[in-house]
Amino acid sequence: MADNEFQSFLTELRRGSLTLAVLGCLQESYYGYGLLQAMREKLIDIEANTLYPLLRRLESQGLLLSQWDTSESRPRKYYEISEKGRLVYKELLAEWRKMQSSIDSICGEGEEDERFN
Amino acid sequence: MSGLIERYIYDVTRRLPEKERGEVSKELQANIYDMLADGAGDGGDTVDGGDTVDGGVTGDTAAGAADEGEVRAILQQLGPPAALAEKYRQNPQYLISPAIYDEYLRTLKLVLPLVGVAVLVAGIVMGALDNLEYGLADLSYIIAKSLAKGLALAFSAVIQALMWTTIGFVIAERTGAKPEKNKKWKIEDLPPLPAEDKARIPLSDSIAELVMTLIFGIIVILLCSGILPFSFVIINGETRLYSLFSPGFLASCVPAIAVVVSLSIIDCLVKIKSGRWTPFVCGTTVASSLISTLIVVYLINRPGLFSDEFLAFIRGLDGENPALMSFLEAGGGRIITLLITAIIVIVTIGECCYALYRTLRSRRQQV
Repeated sequence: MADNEFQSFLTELRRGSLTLAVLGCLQESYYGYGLLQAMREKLIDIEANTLYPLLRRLESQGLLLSQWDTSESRPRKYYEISEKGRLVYKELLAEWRKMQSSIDSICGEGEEDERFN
Repeated sequence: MSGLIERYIYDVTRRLPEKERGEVSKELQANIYDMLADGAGDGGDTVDGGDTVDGGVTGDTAAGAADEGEVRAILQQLGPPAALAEKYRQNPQYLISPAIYDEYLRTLKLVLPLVGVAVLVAGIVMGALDNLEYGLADLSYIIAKSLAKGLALAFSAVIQALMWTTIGFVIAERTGAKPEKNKKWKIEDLPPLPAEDKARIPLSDSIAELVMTLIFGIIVILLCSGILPFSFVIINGETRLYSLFSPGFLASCVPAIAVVVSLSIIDCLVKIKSGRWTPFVCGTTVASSLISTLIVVYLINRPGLFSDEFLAFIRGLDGENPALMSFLEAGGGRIITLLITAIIVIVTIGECCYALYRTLRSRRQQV
């Protein structure tokens, strides 16, 4: 399979999970680049040019709250999950777990290990 | 080199709605300087950016201190400004959105061939007329010229049609005229299966009717306005062309035919739009044919139909064919026009009955 063809499947697959990951991380407040690093530490492969617009979109949808911190040398915009965001996060997470167990039962839990070995 | 960052941010934000520019610009700038400070450009290896965060150093000087290669690497990471702007945009930008794209394509597929063929035919006729002066001797020249004119006109007409259809749809898009989106879809909205739909008016029929109407209308109007000679020929030693009809009749013909053709075009469009025999389509068809018939019948039954030359010619035939002349003298001309009138009226009645029959049958089918 062509590399960029696979890339588009991957992007498709990740799209929803990234929202979930961002909401999960933002239980505590982060500024854009800080969040990027925190997510990468958790081995979530996300590009800066995906994360920054995503934060803005989630904020405009009311899932995140933001605040400019001007106390430091450079102003930074800090994001944090909102009340509505928490509700959405809870439901998404439950749905994601359900999905994961369904996928496991369909594809078989062992198979994944085989492929990576 | 801090100029690079500003230029990058400008290139992203200029593609965004005005009210979002300020905030996105500020945020993007903060993020880029954070990345720069962290040395994200060269994979965590801080040159001198890592320490510039503290001690009241502004973003600009942090960037000023940073190495240009690093700035470039970070901007490279963020990718093409157009792509980033696209991700920032809340509503994807469409000229014509997927919601109405289908409809748009369908309209184009209908309109473009129609306009193309109609204008091609009209253009060939006009081209032929323009070049008739060269006489039949140069037939290949006339054909080439006519074809060229037809193709040129058809091409520009198709471009025009494409443009106006697109403009129409863009306006519909902007004004939010999206019927499917606004109302909830119901099972009842499903169209009947074409094979079983007795009320269906085949698209090809309507289009053929429209094309024929256009061609007929153009030719008749050309004839009546004297561009094409509507003539009889007297071969009497020399060939001479005379107008068969009187100028008064021809002059009144042009607006009348224009009305008749317009009515017919409206009727065709209604049929194309509806695609079925509905009461509305039936009403349009009946009204259009009745009005057209009234106009035509009125025109041909007025006195002064034929030109003086023609009447003189008929009188001139007196000696050779006395029977014809006496027939005409005895009101034979009147009988001919009455006969034509009768034929027209019968055809019209037939047309109306057919429309009513198809409509009623479709009503029965629904019940």
